[in-house]
Amino acid sequence: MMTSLPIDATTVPSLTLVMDRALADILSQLQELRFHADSESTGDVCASEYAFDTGVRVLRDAAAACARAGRSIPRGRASTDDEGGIQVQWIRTSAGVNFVVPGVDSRPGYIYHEVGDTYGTCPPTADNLSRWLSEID
Amino acid sequence: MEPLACNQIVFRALRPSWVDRQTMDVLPIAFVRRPIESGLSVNVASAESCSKTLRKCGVGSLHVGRIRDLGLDVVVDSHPHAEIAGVPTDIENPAEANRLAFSLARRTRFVPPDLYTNPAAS
Repeated sequence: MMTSLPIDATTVPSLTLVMDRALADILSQLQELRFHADSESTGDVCASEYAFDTGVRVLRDAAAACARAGRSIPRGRASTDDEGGIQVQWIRTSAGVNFVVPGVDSRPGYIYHEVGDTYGTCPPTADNLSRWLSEID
Repeated sequence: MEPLACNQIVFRALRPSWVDRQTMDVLPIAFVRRPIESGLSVNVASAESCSKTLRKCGVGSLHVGRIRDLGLDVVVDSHPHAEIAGVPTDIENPAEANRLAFSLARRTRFVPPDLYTNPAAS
């Protein structure tokens, strides 16, 4: 389903303004974690600029790769770790994907994927994310 | 200290972003061990006791036996605090850390706050 992007486009340059609802929801969650996390009272740490920018770019490119394959990004949930890194997780009964971007660029990110009893990690590229998300829904 | 029984329930404090707000499912990130931790902290006393660990946190519950099914164990170090032992960090072993985190998340149930802020309701 297509919907308007509910985040401020000025914070994400050249962001496409129309996209599928699940991607818009994930980007909205990331924006909240970047600019509105309340670590003092909840423990949720603000996403770093590096993690936010990298995460948004890979997700946007993965959405484009999904669209080329006639799919859309499935519904997922974004969180932050203690160092301002982001994790976007898709958890299903017998499959899962975790897209991990550390808070700093000195540590590599990764994509964790599992389908049934098979699991592993791979580099956090848009094509890899699109490929493994195809196993989710 | 006596080992915990398999039917013992333990409670994990959850930051707001560790719970899916639509489904109230607990997310795997809640079980990714931080490098500064020796294990995953849990509370063996009650959801109410656990909820005081962090301000504005939620609480998830899971059975010790379901943790042991994964080859892990729960060790009480300073009652009511205990740790799920045997979980690597995602720096040490990202694939195994995530496999265990996803498995633990699937075994965890979010405890609605009204069940422990108003125990009479339960």
